[in-house]
Amino acid sequence: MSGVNRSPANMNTVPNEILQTILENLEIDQLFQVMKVSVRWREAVYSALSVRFQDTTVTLWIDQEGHRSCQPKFKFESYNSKIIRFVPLKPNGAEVYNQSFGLQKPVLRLITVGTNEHIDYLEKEGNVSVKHTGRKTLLGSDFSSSDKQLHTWSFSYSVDHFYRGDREVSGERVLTPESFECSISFLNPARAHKAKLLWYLKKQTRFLNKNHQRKKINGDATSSDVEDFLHGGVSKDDLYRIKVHKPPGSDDVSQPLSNPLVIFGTLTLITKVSPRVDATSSRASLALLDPRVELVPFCT
Amino acid sequence: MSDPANITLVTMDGTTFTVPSAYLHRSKLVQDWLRSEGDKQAMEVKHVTPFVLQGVLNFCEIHAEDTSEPLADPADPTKPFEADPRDDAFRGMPDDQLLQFTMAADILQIPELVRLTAQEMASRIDGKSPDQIRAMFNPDDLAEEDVDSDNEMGEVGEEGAISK
Repeated sequence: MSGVNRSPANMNTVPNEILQTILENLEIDQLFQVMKVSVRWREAVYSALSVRFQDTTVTLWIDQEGHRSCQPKFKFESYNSKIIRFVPLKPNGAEVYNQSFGLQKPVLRLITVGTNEHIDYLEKEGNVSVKHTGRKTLLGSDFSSSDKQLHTWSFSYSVDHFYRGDREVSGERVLTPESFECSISFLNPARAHKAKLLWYLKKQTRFLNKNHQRKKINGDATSSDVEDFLHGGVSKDDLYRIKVHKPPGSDDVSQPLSNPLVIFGTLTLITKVSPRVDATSSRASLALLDPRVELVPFCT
Repeated sequence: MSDPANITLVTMDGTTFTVPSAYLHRSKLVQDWLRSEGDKQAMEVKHVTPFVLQGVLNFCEIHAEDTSEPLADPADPTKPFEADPRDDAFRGMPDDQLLQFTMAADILQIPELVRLTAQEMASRIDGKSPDQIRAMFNPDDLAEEDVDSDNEMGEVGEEGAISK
């Protein structure tokens, strides 16, 4: 069954299911690389990743001023629209924290994946509110400098009074983890960091972490809560990709084409406003930075 | 009428292969066909060339005596893949032929062969950059505006300005 090596092979006629079966044999870090091959491959990679992550646990590292440390582990529950949902590995695993005056809130310090506790996926720490009882959600949006993307996640938990016997212990709260959801790109090991002292210091330096957002939601986070948080109150209809065109006939490689970026919120006005943006965008003020730049609606 | 001990397969161009039915006991498609009602003159295997079907049948013959439990799913994580020296013919095969074997195995529903060829193809992809993979497979849906490229990455600055 040997033959002359003919290339390229025609993967275009191979059904998506087979492409996914092939990709499921790759390691997770390689799958994130392969994602860049094409749109079709990216979709197959998402499916393959969701399969690979079914055997993976995610651990959240929480403590309060260095004490009362707990590391709830989560296991895969479901995958939908590039969002993976994890639920506690052990149900009813809870930790007691104190919300008395003068004490700092419990803090989510690290997020690790699998058995490797030396690689941190969290760009910035997040306060875990325990003052009021009930269900809460901590939303996170981490901008990774390695892949220039926003990676979103949410941690849902419930807070209850702590009882010793029948007596409520003042100031003590029981935190029970309920779920952890994240975009699949959040789990890209290539964007994670070695958990070393320098990294801890960087995470705690406020001015270095302006691109990372945290928000607390009381109760269940609705889809509009998440949308508002992720897009700064701008709906998907107001999102645009920036596309930079190479000037006609130009072989100038000193100014490479920019990768498309998702822009939300307000851009600084530079020179020329796109009529199409004016006509369709009511909430975002967008402008062309350069004559080569085109703003393409994100939802097309 | 076919001999129950043998089965005749017909490829896309009409070439026929008659082999012992026992060779194909791992093919769910063939087993379902044998159990179905109706005329059993020959089974058409569309979209499979004679060369590829011959290779598939060779694989089936080599593994006909295997006593391992049939795989329910090529991606069954409870049964780790172990390379078998009898399958070395697939290792030196060109990429496009290997893909044809994967598709033929999928059509005939032979999970062991799907896994073997998928594993081999994955090992060829492993460690390669996106550009190298594009050169291997020439994907026809490459959309520049939707796919990241390592050397074309800009970033959003503090005010949303593009910086390089």
